Amino acid sequence: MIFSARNAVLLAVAIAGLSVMTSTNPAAQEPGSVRGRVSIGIPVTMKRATSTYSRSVPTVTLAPESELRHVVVYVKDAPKTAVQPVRAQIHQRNENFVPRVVAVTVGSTVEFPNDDPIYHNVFSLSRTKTFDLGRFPKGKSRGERFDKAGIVKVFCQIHSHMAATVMVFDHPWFAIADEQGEFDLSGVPPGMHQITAWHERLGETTLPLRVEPGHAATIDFVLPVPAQP
Amino acid sequence: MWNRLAPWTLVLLIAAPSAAQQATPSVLSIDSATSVDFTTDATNDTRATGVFLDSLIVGDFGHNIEAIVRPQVQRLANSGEWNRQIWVAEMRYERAGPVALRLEGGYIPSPIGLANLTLRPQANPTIALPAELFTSIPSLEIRGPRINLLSGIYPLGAQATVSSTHWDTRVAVIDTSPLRLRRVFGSTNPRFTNVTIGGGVTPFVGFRIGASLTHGGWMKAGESPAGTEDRDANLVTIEAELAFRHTSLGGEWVNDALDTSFGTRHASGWYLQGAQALAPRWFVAGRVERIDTTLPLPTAPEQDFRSGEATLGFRFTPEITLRGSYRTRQLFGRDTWDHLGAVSLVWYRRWM
Repeated sequence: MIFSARNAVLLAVAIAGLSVMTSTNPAAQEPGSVRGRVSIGIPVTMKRATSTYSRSVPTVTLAPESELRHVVVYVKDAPKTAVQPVRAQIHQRNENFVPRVVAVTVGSTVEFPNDDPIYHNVFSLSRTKTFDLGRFPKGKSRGERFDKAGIVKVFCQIHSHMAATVMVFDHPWFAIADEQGEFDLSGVPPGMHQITAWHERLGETTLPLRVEPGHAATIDFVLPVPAQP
Repeated sequence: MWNRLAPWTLVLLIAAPSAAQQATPSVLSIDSATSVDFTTDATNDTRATGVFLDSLIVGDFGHNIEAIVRPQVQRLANSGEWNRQIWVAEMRYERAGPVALRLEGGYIPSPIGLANLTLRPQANPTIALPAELFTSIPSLEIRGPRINLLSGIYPLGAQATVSSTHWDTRVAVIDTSPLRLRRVFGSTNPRFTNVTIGGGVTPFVGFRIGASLTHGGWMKAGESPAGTEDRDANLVTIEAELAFRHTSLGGEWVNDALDTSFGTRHASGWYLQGAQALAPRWFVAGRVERIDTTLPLPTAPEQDFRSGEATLGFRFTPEITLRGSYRTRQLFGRDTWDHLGAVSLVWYRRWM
């Protein structure tokens, strides 16, 4: 018998020792997280609605929006990772896309319900995704699935001031800031990372950050950050 | 250094004072349209290049008051001449709401018809514009002034519009006959007081049918050997638009009733146009049109103009579109049809 009782004992001891070695440093594989706050340091404008060539007068006025809800924070150098698709919505309301920015994972579907009493159209000619959902009236909704990571700019053919952005990620380490500008990226692999805060008109700002296993690293952004000379 | 700071300086200058964390509508709205059209007339073996540039600038004065200016430069395809115009220069008050109100005065967009609203190249589905706007019809008065069925005019005047979700109505007083061309920088603009009333109903989203009636002078005494007194005209338009999914249709019928030395003479015409998106980048469009009129003779012999155009378009980006079209037309008094091919590059950008 080649596999003797002695060898079996030695193997058991080795396995036990190995398991002890790994269990003595559990944080070595434990992910960290990235938290922080985004603020915008300058006034931000949105395109005015105009109706110069319309027989009807608009029934709505554009309401101010929180720009912090349009900032996407993400790990720029994240490896491609299997992700779960989600469903998101961008409403067409008061001749505006609401919210104007959504961030989803690859394979996700974004619905575009029309809440306005007029026709809207949703289309994109972006390289990441080219589509045209046509015109649809109030109460109707059409959706589009996004199978490739990247930025998709969305427009309405009928109202030139309407624009939205769908950011599609092939990893789970992204977040949209809340009304206070706070964000939380959880489950980030430990190590040195490039963390990016993106805004459709203020551009992107990227800062390096070390994420320690099992700890929350903190980073704050003030947009826009002038380019360094 | 300036290159880096300039965009932010501009943002700061045009932004309304507000909290930095909220977006506010910009004080200025500017968009520009440019088209370059190459047309080949295979029948007459001629070629022409037309260039069109314009901008629509809207400034917000607060309290729902806006100033709107639309300067325009055009290189006329046939003559090669450059034509500078200001097609809109007006002040506007606009109150949104369930029953919305608009008051405007100055050089206003034409209060008549549908075709006048599609003059910008990015709004016109085909390359050629509706013939009723720029194709002169034979004069209905002996040696009288040439007229159009419905001119592309931007008259000096005032207009009030009241609208809701399902209806709209308007009244306008303008200083120009809608049958006569008017140029802002021209020195010989014929001036006539005309009154327009119009309205439309929108029974469901995407479908609107409207009409307008215009009454006023069209020819001054002395503009024709037979014209010993000022002449009036009545102009009726009926227009309809229907849009659904990837299709849009539009059409207009115009009837002119002119006082002439022969009594009341009529000219009428119509067009029907449509556009269909085939794919996100590809679309097809077409227009058929006809104008019927009579010659200034006691027997009123009839003449007509007919035209048809088919267009294929490709959108490189949301701002740049390439169009190619085939057009055939039968001019007034001709038995033969002309055949034309055209290519047009359109660039449209909403700056802010």
